[in-house]
Amino acid sequence: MNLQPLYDVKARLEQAAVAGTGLLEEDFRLRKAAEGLAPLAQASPVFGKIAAGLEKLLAAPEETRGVLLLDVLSLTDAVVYTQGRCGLPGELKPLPHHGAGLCQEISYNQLQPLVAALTGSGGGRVETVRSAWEEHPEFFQDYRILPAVVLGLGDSYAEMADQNAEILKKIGAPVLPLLEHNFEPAGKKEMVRRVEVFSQIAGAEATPWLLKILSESRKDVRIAVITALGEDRNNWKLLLDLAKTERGKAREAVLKSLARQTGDAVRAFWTAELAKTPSSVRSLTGSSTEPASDLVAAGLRERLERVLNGKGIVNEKDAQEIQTWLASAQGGKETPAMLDFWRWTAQQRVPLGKLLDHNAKPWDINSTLSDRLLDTLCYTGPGPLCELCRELWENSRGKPDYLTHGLLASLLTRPAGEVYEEFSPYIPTKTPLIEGDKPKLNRAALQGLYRVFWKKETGDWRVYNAHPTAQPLDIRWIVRLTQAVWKKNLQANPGQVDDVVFGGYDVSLMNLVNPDDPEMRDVMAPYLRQRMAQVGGWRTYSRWLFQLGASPRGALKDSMLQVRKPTYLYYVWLVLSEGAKVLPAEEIIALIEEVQEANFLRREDRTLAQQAFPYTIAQLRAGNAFPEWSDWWALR
Amino acid sequence: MELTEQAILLQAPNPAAAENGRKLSRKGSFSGHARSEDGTLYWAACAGSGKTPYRTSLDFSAPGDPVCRCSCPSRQFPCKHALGLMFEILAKKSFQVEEIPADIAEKRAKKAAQVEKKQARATTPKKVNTAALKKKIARQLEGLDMARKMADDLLRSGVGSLAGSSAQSFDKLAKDLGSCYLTGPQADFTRMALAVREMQQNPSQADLCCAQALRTLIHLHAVIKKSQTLLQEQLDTGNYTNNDTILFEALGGVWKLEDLRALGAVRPARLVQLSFDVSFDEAKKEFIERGWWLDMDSGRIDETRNLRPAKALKYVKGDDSRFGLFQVPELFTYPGEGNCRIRWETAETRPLTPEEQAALPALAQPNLAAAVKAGKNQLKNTLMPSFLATLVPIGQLGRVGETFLLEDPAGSRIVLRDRVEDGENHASVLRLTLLPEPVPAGSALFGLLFYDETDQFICLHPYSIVTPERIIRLLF
Repeated sequence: MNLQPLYDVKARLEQAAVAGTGLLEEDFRLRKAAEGLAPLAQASPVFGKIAAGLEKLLAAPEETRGVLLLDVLSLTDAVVYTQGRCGLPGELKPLPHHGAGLCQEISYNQLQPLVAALTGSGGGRVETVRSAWEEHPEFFQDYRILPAVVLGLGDSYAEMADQNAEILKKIGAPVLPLLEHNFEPAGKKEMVRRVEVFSQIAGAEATPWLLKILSESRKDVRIAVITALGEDRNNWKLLLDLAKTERGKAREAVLKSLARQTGDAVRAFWTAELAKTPSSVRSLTGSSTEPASDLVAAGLRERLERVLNGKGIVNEKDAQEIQTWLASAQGGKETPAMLDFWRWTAQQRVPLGKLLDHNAKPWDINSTLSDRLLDTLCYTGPGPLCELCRELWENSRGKPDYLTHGLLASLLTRPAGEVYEEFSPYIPTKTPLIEGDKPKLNRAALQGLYRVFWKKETGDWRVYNAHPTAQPLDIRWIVRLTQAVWKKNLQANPGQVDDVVFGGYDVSLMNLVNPDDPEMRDVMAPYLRQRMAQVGGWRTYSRWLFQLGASPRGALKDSMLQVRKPTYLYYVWLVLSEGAKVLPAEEIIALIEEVQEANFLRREDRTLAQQAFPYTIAQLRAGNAFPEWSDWWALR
Repeated sequence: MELTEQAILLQAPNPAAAENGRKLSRKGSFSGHARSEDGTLYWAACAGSGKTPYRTSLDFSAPGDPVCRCSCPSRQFPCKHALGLMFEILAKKSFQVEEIPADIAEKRAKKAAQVEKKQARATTPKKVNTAALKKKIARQLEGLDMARKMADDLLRSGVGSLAGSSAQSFDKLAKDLGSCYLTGPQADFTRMALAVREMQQNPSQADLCCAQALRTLIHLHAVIKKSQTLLQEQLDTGNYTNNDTILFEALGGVWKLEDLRALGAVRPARLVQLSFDVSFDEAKKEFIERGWWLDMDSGRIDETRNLRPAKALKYVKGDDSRFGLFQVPELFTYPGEGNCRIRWETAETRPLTPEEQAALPALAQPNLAAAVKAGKNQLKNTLMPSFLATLVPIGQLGRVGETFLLEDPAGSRIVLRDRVEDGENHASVLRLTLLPEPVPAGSALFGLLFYDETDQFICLHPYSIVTPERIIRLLF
């Protein structure tokens, strides 16, 4: 049965309702549609009923038309619904399968906030996703969540997109099909992140997919694909071809990928490339491959020899090029050629030290070379380069040149006691203790210790947060550093911490301390109390003492008075409330009394303090918790 | 009562309270764990910010309806301490068997007396105040006249003229209808006011708004027409029984449990939730939390509906997805056709056995044709919802071109499509391609049958897939 007349009637009736019943008399289209329904009306009583209703409507006076129109429209709707079409002819193809993750029983209240944060917009979303990831990582395995996280790689808020990328990397292989699904090679940042995540998860296994999308990829996506291709050591041939065809940033990506490749052809390419464009050496910065290490060593030596053989003055261009090449010497390069280069620079320290820059001032390439070697040591850790640093230190013992390198190399490879015995004399505790170039030796030793940190998460000491020391740090270092006579700032720029400027010495010392070690706590607590009374910084020192489970009592007043400006009451509350978490109530009461004695609050805060302090003491004595700031504020 | 993580989350007034309770349990805030010998009462002390710890107890003497007690001053119920104690039980912490403390025993006795009193009240026949009812009906008729006049005026000038009219006039009428005990038509006129505002703010959406307003008008017309007849008849005959149950709800009537009990709409049931969703009714300014339930004995699909006004969101406890089998001793079914609203006071839950799970797909409609026939019957009734929740057997899921289809074992097909009215947060069709595993043979699909005006197709909006092993929720 052809139902088109019925649909026409419905459309015209709806149009009449939109236009208004006042115009019905002139609605010739509705009349025509009503006429068109006549054959159907004869075939079926229900259509006949509609036709009759239409007739009545068109003949009705204006005041009753509204009701009649809705009557006939309701009826038409009902008939149309019963005539609704079902199904669709044609070959039924199985649904495409892009599934990933798990089907889990997770409720609406658990899942919905996460879905809303991943797919919505506005503030607070990053925190919602972060806490869900920390508390319920299993939610992210859910097949309803995973696609939302993948889509979130294109979030307009970069922090959110980056967080999603990190989550996907941690989930790993199950997300790979989703990253491939609906991939747009000519897309934008979302697609770039997809490639990066895919490459991080799959590593060299990503090559087949990367090759599939390479030809159609454009702009940033192409750069990401080329960079990802560098993960696979078998892609050198393709990358060599791409080096001939790509331009601009895409070629830079090719060079970075080629920097991770090895083999004769790659070495030949780099030899030619560096000869033609020396600045391409930047692409070798992070590379630890044999060709990269050898070529950088050879190039550096050649350039330094050239300036040594010159007139003693290094022009600006040469100086800049050498700095660029030196920066590229980092990244774990420790082939014999590179080690030989460092040995050679040690031998050439005197002639290199005599070179002048284009302004006829000392060029001081030796300290740059020394810093680069130190950076490389911190990056590579124990190994041939570490042994070389020991060797250079052995050869120059008594001089500051390689003391820092020797100290760090020893911490990384030798027993802790031995290292202390060998290097502690360079931290003098009374004068005179060491002969020779005392301040420089002292500074060099401190520079080494400055690079060592206690890492709570792993429970060990690390050189630059990367490689662990061979043994736990000898406690005698802490004792000695608290007794050192020269408390030179360890950091190049002393930090502005809280309301007071003080040296970085104590910051670096605290970096060395394991707060859970009772011996270290016993050494540090009296030292910190003494220092805070000397240099001020009562907030920072108090916090350090709290970290050690100790109290600043006895030093707090003197420390507060060291600061030039009277303090805010809020800062006092911050420190005391932090202390209340680790110290008994009586100790906090004593600290409050010490603050009262100091009487060094802003004038505006004094009235409130006069109420807040006795109130807090009373609360603590009653066994109640330390009040919130809002409780203090309410006392105004 | 078997305490599961899900059961704890359902007790929580909000997800944050549950998480806070979990944290209390994790960080070891509880001490003095004790329980009664029969295992119906658990209690412990929980360290808070005060000097003395809070005394928290859980009373499981009424199965499925635990009573939480705590000495903390929180106004949240249950508080995080009670929820934390639930997590302690879930974590199988050691509870010493002890005598029930006197104060809790006293409270238990009081509670039992209250329950008895409530039951006695429920069996007492309700007095009908006929004078008040007459007055109410007369007022309703007045309101219906007002609504009719407004609808006629609107149709005379045309729905297209809405953009030029004042939303406030519809708001005012809606308010007046509210005072005439006509909350159903009141919501319809608020919808009209919303359509007017949308048209004025977003002229490009005018056609869509007109179509929506017309649908509302048709619904309103049916309500007015049928209600006027019914109410007049009630006034004339003096018989005030709610014979037309659909109209009673369409006018804004609210069923009370004692009414339902009086109607005999109470029975025991075994239920499984197939899906859960939340939507927001802009006109009524309330969140609608719907649970779709399959009766394991009759195969009926009914819905629970938890209405949470936006203004009182934190005072009305939210519902959530529920898993496992619910054994309900007293299931109240609201009058109506199609998917009825259901409700219960207490229920016991347990995981479905593999046999029970395997039996679920067999509760689907015998074939697609039967489901569509039932759907069409509902759709043609203007006063009924414009969809029917149904469970249909899956022969095959697939695509013809870009259209997703379900083919039943007999070879009949239906288009799978998201219902636009439900919004983007209900989109589920594409999730069929993201399922981590293929749909096994002998499965069924649960969803909403609806008519799509755009191409005159009867479609199915998929909500869940019921396999012999599990229920895969495409939504929540």
